[in-house]
Amino acid sequence: MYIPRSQFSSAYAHLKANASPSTNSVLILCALDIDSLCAARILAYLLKRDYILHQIKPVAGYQDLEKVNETLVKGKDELKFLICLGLGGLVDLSAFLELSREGEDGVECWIIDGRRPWNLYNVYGGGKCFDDGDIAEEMAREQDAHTLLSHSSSRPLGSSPPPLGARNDLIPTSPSQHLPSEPQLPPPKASTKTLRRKLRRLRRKHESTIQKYYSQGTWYGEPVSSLLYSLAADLGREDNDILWLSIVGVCSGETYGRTITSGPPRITGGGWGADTREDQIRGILKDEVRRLNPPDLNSTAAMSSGNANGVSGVTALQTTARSPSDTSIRISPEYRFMLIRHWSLYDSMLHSSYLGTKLHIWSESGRKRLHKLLAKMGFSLSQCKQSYTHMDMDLKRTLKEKLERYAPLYGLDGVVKEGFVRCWGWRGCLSAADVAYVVGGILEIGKGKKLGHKGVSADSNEEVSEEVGRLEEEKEVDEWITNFWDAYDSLTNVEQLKSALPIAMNLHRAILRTGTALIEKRQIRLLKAFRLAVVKEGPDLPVFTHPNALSKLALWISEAILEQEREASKRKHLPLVVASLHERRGVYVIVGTALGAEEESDDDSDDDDDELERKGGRNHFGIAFQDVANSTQARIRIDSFEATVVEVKKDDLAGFLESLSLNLNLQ
Amino acid sequence: MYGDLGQKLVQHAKRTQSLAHLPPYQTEMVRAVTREVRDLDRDVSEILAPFDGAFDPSANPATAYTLLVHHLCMRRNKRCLLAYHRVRVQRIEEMCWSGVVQEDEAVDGDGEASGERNALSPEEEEYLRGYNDLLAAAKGTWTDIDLTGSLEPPKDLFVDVRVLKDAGEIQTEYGAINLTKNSQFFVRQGDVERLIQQGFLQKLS
Repeated sequence: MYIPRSQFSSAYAHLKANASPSTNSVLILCALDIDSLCAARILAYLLKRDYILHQIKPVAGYQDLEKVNETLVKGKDELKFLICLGLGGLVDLSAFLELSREGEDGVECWIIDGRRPWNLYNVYGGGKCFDDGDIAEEMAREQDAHTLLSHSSSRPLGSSPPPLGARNDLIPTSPSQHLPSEPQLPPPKASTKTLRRKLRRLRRKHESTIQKYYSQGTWYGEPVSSLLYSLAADLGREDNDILWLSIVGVCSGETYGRTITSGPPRITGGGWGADTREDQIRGILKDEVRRLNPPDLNSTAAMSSGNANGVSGVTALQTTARSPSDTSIRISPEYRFMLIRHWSLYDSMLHSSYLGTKLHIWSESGRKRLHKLLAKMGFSLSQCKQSYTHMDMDLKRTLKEKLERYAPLYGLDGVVKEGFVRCWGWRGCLSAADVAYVVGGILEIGKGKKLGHKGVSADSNEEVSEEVGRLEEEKEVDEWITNFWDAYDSLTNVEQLKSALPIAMNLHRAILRTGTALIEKRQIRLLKAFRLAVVKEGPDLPVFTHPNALSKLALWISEAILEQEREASKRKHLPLVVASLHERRGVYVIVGTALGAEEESDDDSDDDDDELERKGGRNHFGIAFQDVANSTQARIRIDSFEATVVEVKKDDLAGFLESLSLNLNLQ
Repeated sequence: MYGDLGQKLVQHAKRTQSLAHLPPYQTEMVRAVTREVRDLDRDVSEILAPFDGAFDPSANPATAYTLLVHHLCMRRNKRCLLAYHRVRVQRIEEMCWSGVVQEDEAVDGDGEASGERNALSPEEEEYLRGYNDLLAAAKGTWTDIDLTGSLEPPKDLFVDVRVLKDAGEIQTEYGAINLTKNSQFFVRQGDVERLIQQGFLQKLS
């Protein structure tokens, strides 16, 4: 079943009423990404206010989830609510966790996930999915099909081992198995045959509806933290802290290229004139910011007096708070340069994927182009290489105006975008996107580890034995979870955030280095159905063992390729697959991005508007990876909650890619 | 030089006071100091031997001064030893009160607690056990009050704790809580007070 947005607060009230006051009856499982992290913090904040005892457990992947199931879920009578943040939307969770279904005293499983497609057994079966509107508005057909199909046949309960086969038990394998049993039908005397034929036709129709839903690929709906914000708002408990967490969660999607591609903007919601769902959500957040942080009358007075003095208002980026106790959130025009408040303008421009890819920063001429842009704007390089806060005041004031004038010459439209900034008194000022970069850095690399530090890989040439691989895996998961708590703590602690800034900088330096190397050496191979980049050497290899870090690299490369191709005025763009060698475990981590696919559908969207718009930005690699895993002998592990991330044994990479390209060609 | 070792011992005690963990017992140094005392005592006996019990200080003041210096050295060494042991004893009692060292069976085999244990000399261990027994006996009289509890009143009824080491399932007044590593709990403070003290849980502010 699903919970529409209007029912969020009553669901929470239900939890509050039924949670046990003295034992841990609420377990929050949280995926290791920024969005879920922010959501977990919001939820914990709410629960704490109500004195509801709860446990938060970060989960690294399906394997980890199974372990958690063993230790924390199974056979625990006192557990009443299981809340999954940012995980499990893709598989049938109640079967995966073997929850007792429909039992009065059973565990109630809330699934709050931004990943799509929903597993229909979650939506119309045992789980309780928090719906951002997709289910209620767009999935009526799928609902009919699903209910009819699942009522007429007994479903194999958790029969196939997830996650690999998790999707298989949804797509009926053999029709005969699912034929409705005779007694269920009204006793037709004369024309059993025709009735049966009719039924079969109906069944085929419904099956194809469901098949179609799943075969769209994977995409993203509304971020989890935004859903939880609307819960908090429903309860009337929203404040700046919660709002900020939710803003960070929403902004983090951008850094991974996870735009919300559920469909066109809602008609019902606020935020008029929004072009996409993403803009709409941002619009709502902006309204909330304005509501919770009313503009100070004094400061506007000061601004106007500034104007009277001939100084044009506040055009420089805000880098300090207005007063020591100023912790408000503001909407400000943000440049699409990363970490600009804490870096130099030059570095910030160089490393941001938006600008870097547009200017072809990987080549010598690209760098010259950047220098030229700065020269045209009248910014000396020595000034630009200083830290931004120490740049000349005049330059800072004119930066926006100059950029808006000269950027279009380089195809940099929309370089200035509305963003969010929060100040913590005199202690610092960070924009939401920067926080997302920093927290992402902590999650992916961690505080302790040195970048460029080589793992224990004395025997890198030899095959890593099973045993060692498993140990390394466990160690890695442990490390990720330590990082999760570091990130959890620093999310509300500005000092820790500031101290973690260098991590994010290093990560993006590594991305620029690696991306440049790949393009310069022409190591991105063009295959029939996709492009392939393999990272298997270099000092930055250990950085990209985390799938999310690899996604960032993939985003950078794919944007670069897109830019190149757009200039060559190619209409058809291919998706990109990036593989990175994990030396210590002897596997390749592989990420598939859909950026190319999105463009493709944009180009010829006139012929069948509705259908194509629905499909825009969908990532087909999830399905392809599963198919390949099922059809080949390659040792493949799909563990990540992200469907488009997969691990393949070092020796099996070639075979994997071969069948992948075969698979994609067929599609 | 006489008293050098004693000085060292006192410095050691001084350092101990500012350390979080109890450093190992300085058996060697303590033994050296006592040996020094014994040597001094022997010297004194040797000096006094020819006088045969009829020593008159005013008759030969030089010998008298020698004896005086020897005696003062011995007394100083004794005071150093006492000071050192006093500091240690205080620490041990503190450990008992704070509950870091529990009854024997609780700590055996556990890495960190036994590390703390190794720092103790056999005699100190004996003392610890005895003191623990006394403390338990004293606490036994008042069952409804936790004498070893924190003196600071808790600010909240509930706290956020993060599990550092697997503590297994604990029984509380109302039910069981399964404390597994790497997760965060929001629980009643009274239930987990001891576990926080023992270092299984970390309290988040």
